[in-house]
Parts: sequence; structure tokens; C-alpha cells
Amino acid sequence: MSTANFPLTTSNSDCAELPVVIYSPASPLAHPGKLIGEIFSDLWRCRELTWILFTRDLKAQYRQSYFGYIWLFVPVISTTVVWMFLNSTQVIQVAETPIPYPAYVMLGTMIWGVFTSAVGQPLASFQAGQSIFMKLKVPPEAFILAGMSKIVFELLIRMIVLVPVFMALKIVPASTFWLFPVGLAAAGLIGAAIGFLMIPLGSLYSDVSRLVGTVISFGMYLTPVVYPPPTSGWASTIIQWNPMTAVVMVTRDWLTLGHSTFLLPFLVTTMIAAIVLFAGILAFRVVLPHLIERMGM
Amino acid sequence: MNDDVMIRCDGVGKKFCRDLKKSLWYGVLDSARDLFRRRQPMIRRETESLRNGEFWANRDISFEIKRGECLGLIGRNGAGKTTLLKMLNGLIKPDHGFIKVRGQVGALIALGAGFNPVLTGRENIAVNGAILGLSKQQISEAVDDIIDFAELPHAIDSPVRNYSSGMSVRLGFAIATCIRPEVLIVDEVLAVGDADFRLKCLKRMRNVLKNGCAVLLVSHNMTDIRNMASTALWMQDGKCQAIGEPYKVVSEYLGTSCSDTAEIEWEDPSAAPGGDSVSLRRVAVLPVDINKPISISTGAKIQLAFDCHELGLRLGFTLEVCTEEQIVVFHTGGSLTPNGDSVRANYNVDVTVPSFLLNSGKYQLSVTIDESQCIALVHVPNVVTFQVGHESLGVNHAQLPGVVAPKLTWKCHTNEQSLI
Repeated sequence: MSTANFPLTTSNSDCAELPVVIYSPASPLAHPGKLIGEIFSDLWRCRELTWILFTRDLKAQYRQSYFGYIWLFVPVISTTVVWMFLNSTQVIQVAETPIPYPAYVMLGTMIWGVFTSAVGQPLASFQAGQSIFMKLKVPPEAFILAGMSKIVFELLIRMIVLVPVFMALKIVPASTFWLFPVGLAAAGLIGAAIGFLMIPLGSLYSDVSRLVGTVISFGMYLTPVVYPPPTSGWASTIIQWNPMTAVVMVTRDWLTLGHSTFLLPFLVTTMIAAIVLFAGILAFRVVLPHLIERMGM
Repeated sequence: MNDDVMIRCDGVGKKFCRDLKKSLWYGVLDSARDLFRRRQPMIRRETESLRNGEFWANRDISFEIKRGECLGLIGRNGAGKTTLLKMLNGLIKPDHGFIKVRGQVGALIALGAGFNPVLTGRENIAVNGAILGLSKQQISEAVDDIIDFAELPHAIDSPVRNYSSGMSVRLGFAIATCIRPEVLIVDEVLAVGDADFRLKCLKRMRNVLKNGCAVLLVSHNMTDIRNMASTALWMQDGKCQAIGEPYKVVSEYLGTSCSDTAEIEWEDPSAAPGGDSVSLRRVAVLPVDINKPISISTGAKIQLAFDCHELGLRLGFTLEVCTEEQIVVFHTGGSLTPNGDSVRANYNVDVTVPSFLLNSGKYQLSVTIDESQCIALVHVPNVVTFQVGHESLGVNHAQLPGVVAPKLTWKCHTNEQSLI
């Protein structure tokens, strides 16, 4: 029998210095400053955990596969091919786009994809880690952040596809192309804000994720993802007022045209989303014990 | 809070609801209350009353654990032990009372949480360690010791899904014991793993205690509780049934599940255990005295009386004496009618248990009367309970370790010349 020699060195220093935590029925929102400090110190403390979880998911996801990361490119390419086919056969009439249609669709689906992944990720990560959260004290925010990092990573890989596509279609990126990632980040931010707000109710009732999923898949057709925004008709009014229109259009225009008419609504939407996200993170922390309690034993 | 007190529970209560739909809805209500009523004075009526379908999973639990102390938490399944642990660990909030915890809390619960079956053992050490709050550097320093402790040097680079459940728990435990918390919560993790591994784990926990950690141990193994705990808390239906010296509390707890009399007699033969050929009349362990245990220095007498209704049987009897933890101290018996010449009569058997054999403690006696040593005619498990006490240890009859307490003879020689 082997005997391991662990350095058993619990600090024997004055225990009066040890931090004291009090658990009581009172709401943590009674001391909001303390709560915010706690959340961010937890996230900082768990930066290594976040990284390890991120790499764990990445490694595990493609270990049982021959083609591995190649699968990341498949959704972008397949959506583009489908819409090119529909467009070329005149099954669906799409108005003239300012850049070649394949690139238009590819960029649109890419931006929209970031948004939808960001909407679903917080709740999905939270539910995937349920068995851990209900047994061990660990900040679920680290798990959610790791899930978000995965979206960013996959996005970066997909962006590589743009290079050959742009070359083949002879598109020259606009001078504002460096703002393209900013636009993508905004799409992710808006998605994450919705995603965080979904967690409290969504982890208790599965109706929430089903409802949001339905609304979002419908929302893609109310957003100029695969077609340019119509200029007339009742549909144009809805699309004009859809906050995601601005995000998709501005982000795409930054890479291709260099100017956009939707800049103001884009900024307003992003600002509101940032505030909502912050509130969502706070609310999540406040209700977390109640969610864990209802997960079972 | 006194500087030495690491955990303090004060009147802690927790409500649970068995109905799923109601439980979820109460979850929504509680969440909304915490979100929108910031400075609610916790109205007494609100914390004290139960909503429709709710019950108290924990009620009025109060205790303190100091540095180097171990509280053993015992109770039947569903008594509320895990709920209490979850509150101490800060996973769920108490509905009543408060908990103060000093220092970092570590938990030996859910061993191997977050193991990914596709990844190798080595990769999972990093993930699991990080979940338990270890830094990358701490993990890489400890990784060899972990593999060694888990006794998995050959399997460490194969995927965890190829491990047996025992192997993955061993790996989980080895990782979990790298944490250096000031407060350690252990929930029934020693039940898994083989005997060797269990011993190693107990040794590790003793070390942790020696280093000034406070430990809260949940176990169904009463020997572990008696050996490790400095105080035991017995929970029943969410309430604290007894708290105090582990030997006493464990005895009280185990006493609830077996007969509590040293003498039993069946007046009505039809109600007595047995069958057509043999029926039991009386079982007693003498001397019977409710106020005083049998002295370790006088020994005990076991009396057995039964009626035999059949001729020509080869009767025999077996006595089995168990400790409260169901450890068999001895299993013995004899042949009463070795030549197969039983008669229709009342048989009385007196058996002497010598002095200085049984250690002080509570024992249960099981009785079997058999035919030809193979067919059990009567078998009554734990028919009587008796207590043995050690006078010199005082009225509390505290127990010395061990199942038996023999009186040994010894000689001591001195040889002064050899020192020069």
C-alpha cells in the first residue's frame, strides 16, 4: 500500500483573521455593494477554473470525432449554400444586396448565430453544471463564462472562412473592418443579457427556453439576416423597430460598406443590453440559492 | 463569535415541499421576494409558518464546532442531514435562524464532480481540482501524490469512462483531500472503496483534525462516528434528537431500532416464536437490573427455555451476540439431544458468559434452536438486548475501544545491571 505525503499545512495562524460568512434568510440585496464585490471577486478567483472548463469542453467535444474542428465550418457553409440555391432557382425572390449574395448571407447568419448562441448559452451551461452546483460551492458564473468563451472560439474559427470567400467574390473589406468584432461582441452581449434573464425562471420551468427558442427562430425572419431590409410595406415597419436589425446591419456594414444608417439604434440597443446584463447577473446571484434548493437533493 | 468556534448554527430551520409543481412555484415566490423586497424585516409570521404542502426539513438545529473538533451527524435516511450540510456549505439559505462559518469551507461530497468521461484521469484531475478551488500550481504539485493515493498509476492516462465506480471515487477522493480548508464537510464518502482505502481515508481525516481543522462528518458507520467524532448529533425528522458524547448518542440512536429488554417471556404458547415441534418460552440475560448494567467482572448468564412437542429430534442451540454495530462477538452453541432422543418436555438451558470477555457496551442476543444442526426450528434475531458495564469507568460506563476486554496476565522483569 502506498502512502502519499501531502503537505498537510492548514494555516495555524490566528484564526481571528479568517473571514466569517453568515448565512441567514435575509436577501443579499440588502447590501448590494457587498454582493457586487463578491460576484466580481469570485469571477477573478475562478479565472483559472473558467479556462480549464473551457478547454475541457473543447477537448471533450471533438475527441470522439475524426474531423474534429472541421465541423465548426459546416453550419456557416451549409446555410450559405442553401440560400444561394434558393436565390439562384428563384424559389425565393431576394432584393438586390449591396455585396454579393453569398457573402451577405454568410455574414448575416454569422452575426445572428452569435446572438442566438449567446441567448441559449447561460441557461444551457447552468443546467449542464447542475449536478455540481447542487453539491459543491462553486460560482456558476465561471461555467457560464466558459460556455461563452466557447462561442467566441468557434466564431474565430468561422471567421477564417471569410478570407477565401471574400477573395473568391473579390470583395474588398471597408476601412472600418476592425469594428466588425465590436459588432459581433454587441450581438453576443445582447444575447447574453437575454440569456441571463432567462436563467431564474428557465431553470425552474422548461417552458421558458422553449418559448424563447420559438420566438428567436421566428425572429430571424423579422431581421435582415438573409435578405436586405425592405423599404416599404408593413414588414418594413416591424423590421425597422426590431432592435436586432440595427445590430445585424451595422456589424455587416462595418466589414463591407464602411457606413451604416443604423448606428444610433445600434448604440442605444447595446447600452440597454449592457445594463440589463449587469442586472441579470446580480439577479442570478440573488436567486441562486433558491434555484439550487429546487433542483433537488 | 469566540475565535475558536468555526461553525455556529443557531436555531436553523429549512422548509421543503414534496409536491413538485408547488415547490417550483414557491421557488419563484422566494426568488421574487429576495429580488424585490430588499430590506424586508424577516417577519416572524413568515419565517415560522408553513405554506400549503410544506414541512420542516430542518427545525431548530443549534450547535457549535470548534477548531480540531469533529461533529458526527447521524440519523436515518431522510432525517435532514444533507439539507443541513447544504446550508453549512452555503448552497441553500436557511429559512430560519442563522449559520456563521469562519474560514474556508471544503466539502468531501460528490466525489469526482465534473469528471468528463471522455477525458483521461490526468485531465480530469485538473478539471476536478479547479472545481474544488485549487490553483493550477497546486494541482500540478499534487498530481503525482493524487495518482499514488488513488492507486491508479496504470489507468491514469485512459478515459475515465473505462474506470469502475470504485476507481473514479478513489480518484475523486484523492483530489478532494488536496484541499486545505479550515472547515471540512464529509458526507458519507467513506462508504465506498475497499477496506485498505477506507483506512487511508480515516488516517487522512485524523491528520486534518490534528491540524486544527473543524470537521463535520456524516456517516452511517457508527464505528467511524465513535472513533472520529468528538460530539455526535442525532437527527430525526429534521429535528435534533440528541447531541453530546458520541458513545451515548450512538447508543441512543441504535437503541431505537432493536428491542430494549434483557428478558422476554411468552405466556401464550401460540404467540411464541417457533413451530409445531419447538416453541420458545423465555430468553433472559441475567442478572436483570434496569438501573445497572451487568458487571464486566462478574460475567453474565444466558437463560433459554423452550417447549419440545416432538419425540426423537436431535436438538441443538446457537447463541449469537452482536455489538450495536452488528459486529458478531461470538457465535456459539451446543447439542442438547445428540442421540436424537428428544422428549415432550420443557427444556431449560443455562449458558455462562465468562467475566472479562465482553467489553462494556450494549449487546444484542440472537437465538436459534435447530434440528440435526441444519434445520432451524426457531430463529429469533436480536431477541434481547443487554448492557455490560465497567465499574471502574464510573457511572457513565464510557466504553474503552475494542469488542472484548480480556483480563490479561503479565510479568515485568527488571535488570539493573544491564544499564551500567
